[in-house]
Amino acid sequence: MSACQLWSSLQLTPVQPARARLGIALYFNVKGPEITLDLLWAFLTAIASGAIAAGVMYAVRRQRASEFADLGALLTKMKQGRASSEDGLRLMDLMHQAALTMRKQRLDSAFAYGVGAFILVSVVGLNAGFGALAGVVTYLYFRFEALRDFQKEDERYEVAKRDIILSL
Amino acid sequence: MKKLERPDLYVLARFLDVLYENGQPMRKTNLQMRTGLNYVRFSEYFDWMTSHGFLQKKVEDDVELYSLSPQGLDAYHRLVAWIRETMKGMRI
Repeated sequence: MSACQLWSSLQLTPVQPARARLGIALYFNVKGPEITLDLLWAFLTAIASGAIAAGVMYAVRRQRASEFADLGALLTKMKQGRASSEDGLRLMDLMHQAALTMRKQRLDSAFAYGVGAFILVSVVGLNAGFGALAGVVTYLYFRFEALRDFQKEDERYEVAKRDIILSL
Repeated sequence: MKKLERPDLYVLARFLDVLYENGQPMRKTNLQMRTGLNYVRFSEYFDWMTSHGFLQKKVEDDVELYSLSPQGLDAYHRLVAWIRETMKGMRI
C-alpha cells in the first residue's frame, strides 16, 4: 500500500455524520458552514464537562472542609489556654481525622495517575485497550498503597488509645 | 450495677479534669453534675475510678467528699503527658 493510498484510507468519507469528525480531522474534512456548528458543539461539550467536573470537585471539597470546622474552634480554645484534657483528646481525635482525610486525598491522586497511565499508554501504544488496562492497574496499585497506609495509621492510633486506658 | 469493662477515655478525662481543676474535695452530687452524666453512667465510672484507687474519700460533718488520690493525680498527669506526646507526632 502506497503512502497516498494509506492517507486516503485514513480520510473520513463525506457520508459520515459531522459529529463523528473531531479533532484536527475536522478542519480537513468539514467544509463550509458545517464547521461552525461542529466547533460550537465541541465548545459547548467542553464547557458542560468542565462545569460538571467543577461542581463535583466543589461538592467534595466542601464536604471535606466541614469536617474541619470544629478543629479551628478547638485550636482557638487551646491557644487561649482554656482547654481541658478532654478538649485535648477531642483535638487529638480531630487532628487524627484531618490527617486521615489528607491521606484520603491520595486516592484522588491514584485516579489521576490511572488517567495519566491510560493516556500515555494509549498514545504511545496506539491502543486504547492496553491504555485502559494500564490505567486500571496503575489506579488499583496506588489506591491499594493509599488504603494500606490509611488503615495502618488508624490502627496505630486506636491501639495507642487502648494502651493509655489500660495503663491508667 | 453493671461493671465497666472498657471506659471511654473522654469520660475519664472529664472526671479527672473536674476533680483536678476543682482542687478541693467535692460532694458526689456536685461531681455528677459537673461531669454531666446520668446516675447510672456516673456510678459505673465512679466505681471504676474508686476500684483503680483514683479517688480518696474524706468525711466532714457527716458529708462524704471526694478528691483525687495521689494515684488519680498521677493518672491525670500521665494522660496530659500522653496527649501532648501524641499531638507532637501528629502531622496534617
